[in-house]
Amino acid sequence: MSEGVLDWADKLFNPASVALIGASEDPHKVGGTVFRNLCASHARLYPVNPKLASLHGHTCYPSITQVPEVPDLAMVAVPTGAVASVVEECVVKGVRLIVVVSAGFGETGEKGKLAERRLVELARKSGARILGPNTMGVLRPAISLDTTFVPGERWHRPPPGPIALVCQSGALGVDGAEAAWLYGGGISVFVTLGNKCDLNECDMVEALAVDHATRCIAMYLEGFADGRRFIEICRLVTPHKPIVVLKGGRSDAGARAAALHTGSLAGSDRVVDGAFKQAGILRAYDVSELMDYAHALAFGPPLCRPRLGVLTCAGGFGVILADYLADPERPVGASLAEFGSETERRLRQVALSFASVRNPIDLTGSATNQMFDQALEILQDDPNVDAILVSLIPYPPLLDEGIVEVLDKWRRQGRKPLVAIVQGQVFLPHVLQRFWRAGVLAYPGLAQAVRAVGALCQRGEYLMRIGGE
Amino acid sequence: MSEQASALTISVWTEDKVKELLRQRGVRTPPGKLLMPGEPISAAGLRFPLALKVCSPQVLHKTDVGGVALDLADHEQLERAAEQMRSRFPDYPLLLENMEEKGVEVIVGAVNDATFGPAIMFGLGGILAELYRDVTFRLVPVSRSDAESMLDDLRGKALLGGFRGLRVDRTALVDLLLTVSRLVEEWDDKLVQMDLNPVFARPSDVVVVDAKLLLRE
Repeated sequence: MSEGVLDWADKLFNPASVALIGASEDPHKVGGTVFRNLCASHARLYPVNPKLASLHGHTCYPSITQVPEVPDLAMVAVPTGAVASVVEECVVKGVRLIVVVSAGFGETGEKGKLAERRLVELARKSGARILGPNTMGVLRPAISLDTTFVPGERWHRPPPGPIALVCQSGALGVDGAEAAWLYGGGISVFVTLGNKCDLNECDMVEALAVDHATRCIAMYLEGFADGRRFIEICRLVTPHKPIVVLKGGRSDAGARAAALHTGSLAGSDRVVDGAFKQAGILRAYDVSELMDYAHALAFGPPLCRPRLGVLTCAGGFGVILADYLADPERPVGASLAEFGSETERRLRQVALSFASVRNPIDLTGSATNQMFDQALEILQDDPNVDAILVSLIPYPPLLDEGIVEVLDKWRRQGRKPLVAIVQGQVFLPHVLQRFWRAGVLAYPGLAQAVRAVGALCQRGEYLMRIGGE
Repeated sequence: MSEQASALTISVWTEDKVKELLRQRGVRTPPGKLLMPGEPISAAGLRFPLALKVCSPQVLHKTDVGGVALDLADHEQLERAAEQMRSRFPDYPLLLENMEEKGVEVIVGAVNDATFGPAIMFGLGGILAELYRDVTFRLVPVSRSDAESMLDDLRGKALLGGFRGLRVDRTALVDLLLTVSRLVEEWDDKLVQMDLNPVFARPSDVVVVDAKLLLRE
């Protein structure tokens, strides 16, 4: 990894000082919200606005050139027409990283693309890098850094955690990041790429590959700045750090000459699919999948064709889970374990006479925290069980939130991966969050849990495949 | 791309030429011979049933224009088919080949993707290829493990893994994919598209029955 990569990444992820050109008193203006959000950070802040003397207790400067130091990060939130001259001032000042929040560039057409290219030319003179334009910048919960323009009360910001989220679209990323609040899994860094006139998804993967806080990289992309380079970089990273990508624009077949069968069968999306598989990139198809997979991969171990013990307290959930695991149309990569006879004999001693002790286990509405505890212990001892799915609902009167400690105990003491399914509005979302805080994978639905297991299986098979090369 | 523009920049490799190249790389194709315009029709050295196909850069899709005659059982049927084809295509060579014993019909292809560059394709082939669309892609160059994983990507992968006693030489299939990957690597930016379709995947070998190639030259 070259020094240059780390330089901009360090300034984006850990700025000691931030200037905002276009800072405003008006909470309804972008420059107003961004500065308010910035005030939570520990960085030295330099609002720039020639009409103000100070803003929220910080001295205001008439231009970036008069700020008393070279800030690590300069944010530009001025009208489109004024952006180029502000960027030029930043370059003259010696700023190494410029985040252009202002919109009205490449997304509007050819003229805007030209204006973007001009910004890059200006920055190249000094070797400065640009994020954006049309970006929300960065959220780094560990240092309370928030450069977005989402008002504080409109968004549950996620806690610090191991998932890096890189999104071409800001709002979609905010929605995704909120899933990391809902689960409590947390975010290492959230970056909006915007129009990608300079820094793009390739740069981000390179930087996040060496970011120690990041255990999994989740991305939403609509296009590729350089498809082949992206695949080559990801191929180097995925053996060490999982990458999940939600690729928008699947239906765009592109302008391909389709003279032969292969051409008409290609469609841009089929090739994306193959390239992702080759590079070990896990593919998601909507925002919730993206975040569900990212949570699984950040917190769970890779699995290789695991045989699952399924533990429930209501038959129906077990039936549906068994159906998912046996579906030949959408193979999960996992199967339902066949219990040994000793397991069934011991389960019979724990459960009531009318409970089902074959897989999937149904402890019935008479289930207690203790029954779950004992059943989990028995499953730990069965060599035919590789991992355990636990379906939980708040309806059995003797089953309560104490179940979180039970699963946490087996996560710590046990040898087998656990995935919990938390259903019922009385349990949601706080029991779900308690599980994640305890480090137990937990999902609010059967399909979501099964897909998460599938993601861990894909990861396991990929690692096995490249290990064999 | 308009016909005119493509005629200026893209060259069409005829079946015989693609097959010659494949044979040089150790790929099996049916025994056959090229009969030039006016050359007497002779099946010497081949065995019935035979296939007769027109070979011309102007005829990309031969079947659509009566440029293919299959299952010719004897000299009489061959003479009749040759006469018809010569009257339709007096100026083009004809490719006379042994009919090969069928196997599982697969397609092997290559494209130059606008985003990712050269890529190869593998899938279930034959005339229903575009109906089932059961295909998978990998970027070039592909490793042996990439190629092996392509076989397992198909919905119909059971056809390559013993379904109803069907046996397929998977190693030969993987070798073919690797050969195509190497060719595509050599062509680099010149590649437009290639189709090997159908390819018969049989118990102890793989044979390329039809082939088309478009190169930018």
